[in-house]
Amino acid sequence: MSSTPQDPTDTALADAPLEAGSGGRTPTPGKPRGSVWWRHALALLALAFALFPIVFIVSSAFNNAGTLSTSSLLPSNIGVENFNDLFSDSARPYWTWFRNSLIICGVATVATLFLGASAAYAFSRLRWTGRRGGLLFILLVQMFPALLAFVALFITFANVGNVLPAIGLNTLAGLLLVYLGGAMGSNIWLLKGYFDTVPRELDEAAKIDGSSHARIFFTITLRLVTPILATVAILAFVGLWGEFLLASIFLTSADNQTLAVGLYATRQADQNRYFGQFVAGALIASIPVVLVYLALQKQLVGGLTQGSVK
Amino acid sequence: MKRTSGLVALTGIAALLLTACGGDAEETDTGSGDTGEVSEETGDAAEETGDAAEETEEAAEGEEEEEAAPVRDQNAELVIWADDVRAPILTEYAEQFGEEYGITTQVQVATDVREQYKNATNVDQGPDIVVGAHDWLGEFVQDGSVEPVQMSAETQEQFTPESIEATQYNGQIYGVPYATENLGLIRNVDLVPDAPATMEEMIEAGNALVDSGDAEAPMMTPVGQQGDAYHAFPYLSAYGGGIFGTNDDGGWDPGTVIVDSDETVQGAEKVAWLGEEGALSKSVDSTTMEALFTEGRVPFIVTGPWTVANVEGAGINYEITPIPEFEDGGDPLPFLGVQMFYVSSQAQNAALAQEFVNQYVPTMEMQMALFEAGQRPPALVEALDQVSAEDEDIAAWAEAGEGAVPMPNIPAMNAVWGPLGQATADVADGDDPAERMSAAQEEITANIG
Amino acid sequence: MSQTRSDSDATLESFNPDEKLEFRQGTPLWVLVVKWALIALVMATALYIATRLAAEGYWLMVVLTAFVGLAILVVYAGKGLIPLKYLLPGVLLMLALQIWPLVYTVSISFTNYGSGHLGTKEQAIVAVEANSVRQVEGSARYQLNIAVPDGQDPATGDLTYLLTDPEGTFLAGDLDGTTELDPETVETNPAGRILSAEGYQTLSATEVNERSQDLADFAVPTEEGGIKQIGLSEAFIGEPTLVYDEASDTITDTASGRVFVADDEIGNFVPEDGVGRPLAQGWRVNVGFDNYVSALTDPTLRSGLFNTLVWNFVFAAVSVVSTFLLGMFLALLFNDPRLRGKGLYRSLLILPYALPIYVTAMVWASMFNTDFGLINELTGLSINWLGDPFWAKVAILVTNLWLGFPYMFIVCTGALQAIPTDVKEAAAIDGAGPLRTIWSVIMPLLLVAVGPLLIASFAFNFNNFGLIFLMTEGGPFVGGQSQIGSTDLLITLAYRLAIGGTTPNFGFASAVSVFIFILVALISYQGFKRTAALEDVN
Repeated sequence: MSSTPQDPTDTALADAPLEAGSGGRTPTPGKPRGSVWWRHALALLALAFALFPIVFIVSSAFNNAGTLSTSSLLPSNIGVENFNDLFSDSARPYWTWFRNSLIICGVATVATLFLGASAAYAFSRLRWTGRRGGLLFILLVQMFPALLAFVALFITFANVGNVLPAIGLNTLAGLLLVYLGGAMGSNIWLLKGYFDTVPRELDEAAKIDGSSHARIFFTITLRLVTPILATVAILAFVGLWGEFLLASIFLTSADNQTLAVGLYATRQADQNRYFGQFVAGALIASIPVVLVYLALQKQLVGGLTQGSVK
Repeated sequence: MKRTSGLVALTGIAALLLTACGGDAEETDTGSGDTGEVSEETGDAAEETGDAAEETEEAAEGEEEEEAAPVRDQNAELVIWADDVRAPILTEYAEQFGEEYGITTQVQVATDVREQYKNATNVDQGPDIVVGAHDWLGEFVQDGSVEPVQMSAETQEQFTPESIEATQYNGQIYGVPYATENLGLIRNVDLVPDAPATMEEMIEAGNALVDSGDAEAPMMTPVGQQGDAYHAFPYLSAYGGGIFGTNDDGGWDPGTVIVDSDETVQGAEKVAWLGEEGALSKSVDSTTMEALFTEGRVPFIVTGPWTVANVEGAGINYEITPIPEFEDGGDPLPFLGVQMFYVSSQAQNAALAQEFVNQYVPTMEMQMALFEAGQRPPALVEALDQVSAEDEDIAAWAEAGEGAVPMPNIPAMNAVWGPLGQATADVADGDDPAERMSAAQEEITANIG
Repeated sequence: MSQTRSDSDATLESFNPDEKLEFRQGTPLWVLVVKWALIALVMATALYIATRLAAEGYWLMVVLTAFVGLAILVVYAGKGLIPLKYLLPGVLLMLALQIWPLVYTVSISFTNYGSGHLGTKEQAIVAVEANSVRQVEGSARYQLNIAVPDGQDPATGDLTYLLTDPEGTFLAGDLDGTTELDPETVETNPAGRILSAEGYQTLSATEVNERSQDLADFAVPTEEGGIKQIGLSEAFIGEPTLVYDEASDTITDTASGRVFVADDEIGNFVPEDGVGRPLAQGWRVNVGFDNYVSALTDPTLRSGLFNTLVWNFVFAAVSVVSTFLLGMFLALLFNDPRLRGKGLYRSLLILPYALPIYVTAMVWASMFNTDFGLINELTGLSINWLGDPFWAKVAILVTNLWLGFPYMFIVCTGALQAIPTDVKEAAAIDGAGPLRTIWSVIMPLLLVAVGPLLIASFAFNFNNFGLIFLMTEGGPFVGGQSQIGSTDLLITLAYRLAIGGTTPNFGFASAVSVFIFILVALISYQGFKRTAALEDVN
């Protein structure tokens, strides 16, 4: 995954027809035609839409009064007091939450990728009865209102904790496990769809060479589906990073909480009293997501399938 | 308040649903076994020897060792759950108690104390003592999750009568109080130097500022689209109205809803008037109110002690006073909220828990320390007197709470907040008070069932 | 092709032709070692879990664990069952953590689980009696110490209360009653509490604590009532005012003489005379299909069902389509190598996704504020966004578009990479313009890849409880009622009904959820049959 080469020519070729005014003629790769200013204009428009509400969050984070100003962008008391409070609050161990979240999301993301990819391989590449039914079944299971099932999970893990305290309630390991329950189901379709687009000729060739299914999976298939793995990694990471309903039921004591739960609790504590701290914390909390995205971006768009395959 | 209650509702619901299904050992077995298979995901790796899998396993293992803390610390002999505001100070006292009795103690911060307590107690993983608000009581009793404290008459007398009243359910005392809170009026002294004597005067002063462009509204009370019965209650109660009647032993009677009584409707008419004057508006929720007040764009807000920290932080010159009376004699009385220590009925250390709650919590020292942490008027009379003498704000909150009625702590209140809140919002928005209140009455009685 | 190869080799051990030939016979040694080491580890873990389970007496679970362990062994140790090798971990996790909770939830829908109906009847009776213990009027309070007679083990000895009454008399109380102690033989603290007494050894706090169970049932009988301890240093004379009678299965209020009869149909003690309310503490009973029947006949649910259902569909469908279109558009927009600063654009675009929903939903709600919100302020409109049924729906949809498009953007960006370049080239050669190419070439291909995801997204939004509650709580409520809001989804409506009463009923909520589940599943299945996705499976 880490060593995916990027071939700019491929990408260029791939998108050239989308460019404005290509007029139906085959564009020459590498030789830009027309201007891209309109893309920038649209991009800026999209950014305005995306960032507009976030400006408020930033503005509240730097508002010493600790309130959300709804109608003006510049707070009257600009300062970093909220951040100071956030980092010095002993009852709300922000960095511990941060660490917990990183552990949970990091481990769960890697495991999700692995579980999802191996299942997708079985659904896409191997022939067995019940494939179609299995896929449908998995999808249907995802449709049960999750909120309800939390109850059963809570009670189940209360009992698990009696036998195996290491994965009971209020443990990160337990929560991690719960998250992994959905690892295969939530991404299988996306993964399988992409696996299907990888030409079988490659496996066949390897098979003729005498490679085992495991070798094909690890050394060939996984490499060819890097973009979708990156996609799933981002989705899994972000999904878990923001998850707080289940986590808030599961993790009770402050030291074991994830960022999402801790912040949520900060928001709730004593009406709006810690609002400023909360917003400041939420702002910092968004940084890892962006970093993960940046780190995986190359893989996300640097697909191998084009050009080299066909 | 409104947004917050939305949030509360969100986890509240999930959590509440939890409470609903008790620890039921046999049935849940299947789950516990299957989950034992954590390592299978690594076992899968076993077969194919992926690097990724190995990583996963290492990470998972390392992390288990580090975080293996169960809900309840099994080594601690007395476990207390409190919110993050009070927990740090409680830790000190619990340790002191522990030393005196030769035991270990632990104070754990719970984020949503009420729901987490119910859930955990339901599966026997709760604490021995829980610190929280008095209006949780009815539900706790209904769920059988708290134990009476059998406070002696002598001890009862050391507390303010309202706070003791709040700890009772069906005439039984279930906790030891330590603080009270109620709504009052916070005024921006720079905008209006003198406290208004009546509601009408206040609205007049406020509207003058609105007219001159110095204020957005004459006064603000959180309403929101769905209304806010807690903040609207002072107006509804101004002429003797309320929510429930009382039964023979002085407790709230869920069978007698008085939301459409003449007294309550008279209060609702004032809500309508305040709505006309622009003082009550669906556009104003607690977030908006607080933001505008801290920007100096509203002269008066009706709120509680929780807002003070942010008002101070914004550098607003403020004063706290009781919510003024109406000219025709209506006296708006807020709800009184009481903070207290409960003893769990599932306490593994019942004797120690009772000892701590009965002998430690009523002490001057402890009440003062809890005051320092929470900045609410203490429930112990002696502590209240001392604090009031030193702290103007607290004296003012206590004064604003004079005559306040403890918020009903019966489970039926659960059926009231939504319909009553919406009704007050609609009335402020122009609905006919009498009609709207009687519609609310119907909804509430139907909900109570 | 060759490029792929050489790249693969970079991270693995070298991949020379000879090894390839040997591969079938000889898997590299380290692979085998690691494989068996991991299998052994899993077996050891299973064994450990089984031992723990056995120790706790969960025999059924021991069998299950053994079965699972065996399954793992069979699947991974042998050569066959290749699909299972890939599926087993995911399937096991899904069974334990998705299917099981689902089944459990369905089973709850046949009970009256809910506040006030949590435990068993026995627990309810204990709670009723314990909560009714009152101090006997006018009776004394004692200072207390707890002891056992000399020579007995503190852990098992006969419990004795060493009491000091208000007059300063010293008493020793046990199950037979009280006996006065000679003041000469006791030592007290200044307040008069006995610290030690001849013939008794006092228990330390820890020792008392360890006997909590015994103490719970212990009381010293007196004429007035039983002496019970409060904590470690105080005691009072108390009597339960509600008493359970097993023979008649009733509870009697000793003060008023009222009788409450156990009703096993509803799990409550109800007043015998039919006047007044049942006792608060009830118990859990099976109610069969009652919850389903009441869900179907609930007047609120029925009257609001049609509108809510329509809006629920509109909400889910519009959310999916709008987020997908915007996400796809942006993905295409940024799929141009010449565009500089793509990385920056893309990472800023996913920010709405990076912030927790409870922050952003709140900010949006504030921006939609009629009088003080930025949207009205900037546009000069005075739309009552969250107070008008129509505009509230618009506001919700806009917010959900904002929240959801980064997800689709990421998915589409990934999926776009799978569309073979030559397809696009071919389209271009055929003379298709860029829009044509998108519409008739790229979109269909993209839909194949993300189609199932759209269905999943539809299902998610169909039950998007979080957004609705954070934004509007289902409101605005029009027409002078607070039961059915204009932006209510079925699930928010159901929850309000289930939890809005005196005794929130989880059984009912489960039943409604099962209905919703069936509904969504049917729709999704239909949706599926229409997408190319299924054909693809074949």
